Amino acid sequence: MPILLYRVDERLIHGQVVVGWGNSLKIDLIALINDQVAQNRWERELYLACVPPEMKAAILSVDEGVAKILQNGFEGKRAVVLVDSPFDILKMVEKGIKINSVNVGGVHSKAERKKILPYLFLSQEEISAFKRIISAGIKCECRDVPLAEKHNLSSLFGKLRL
Amino acid sequence: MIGCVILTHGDLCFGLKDTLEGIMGKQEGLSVISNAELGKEELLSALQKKINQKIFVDGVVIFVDMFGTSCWQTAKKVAATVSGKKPEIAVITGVNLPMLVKFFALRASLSLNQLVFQVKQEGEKGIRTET
Repeated sequence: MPILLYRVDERLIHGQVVVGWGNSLKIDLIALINDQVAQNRWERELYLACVPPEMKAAILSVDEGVAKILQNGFEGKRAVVLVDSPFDILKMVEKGIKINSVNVGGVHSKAERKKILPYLFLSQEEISAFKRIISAGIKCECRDVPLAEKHNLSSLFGKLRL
Repeated sequence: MIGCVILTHGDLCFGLKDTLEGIMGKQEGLSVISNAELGKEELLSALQKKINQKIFVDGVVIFVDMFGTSCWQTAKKVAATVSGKKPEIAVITGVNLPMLVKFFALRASLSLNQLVFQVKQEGEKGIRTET
């Protein structure tokens, strides 16, 4: 089975993912792909503590994650891939991962970011990165939790003249 | 004084504070933070600001609504960064009204560890089922 969801969410493994998406997609594996977390034992343990017993989690660097996906390493699992920025999606695409669509979850407020949705704040660099993802033919759909309204990121950029 | 920070999703923290103060009157050293819209660093620095108050010489308890959430992760991070320093910090998840009532009833007379023990017990006792 292909990966069920590629999600950009700065909070990585947290309530919306575990409770919201976990229940609606019947996830049994969360692949957290992030170089910084993969290198930091304390952070790894922090995120692993947030995984409920009915799910497993793999915490991988971008290179490890790409290798695993290319080898169909999550075959037979109901897996989601979590990254915390559009930059990591771009890296994965550049390294040969085929992605049809990206779920844009929470990227929250920070000084240099502009508000797009209540859960989506993006800097100029992040906007450019998402535009590159969109021009690679990947649909970017904003939805923080499964029952929330979907917003097409490309149309939002158009509406806000970004 | 032992300080209290209630850190939750959405508006829950505001509701808890209002309701608690409706029962016990206005409380000193009680602050609330919602994670709504706040980015990781903003949430972390908001929490640090609430904790670093001179009056909290006896410690601070961070009440979080749910284990394993971004609120809990932030509380854990703050607790880890101040570990071994002052103020001493405790984190309690699954905040409910009985816990908060107990906290404010007892905080002047107990140490941080004793208080955390009593508060947890009260929170658990507050959960009953009738079937």
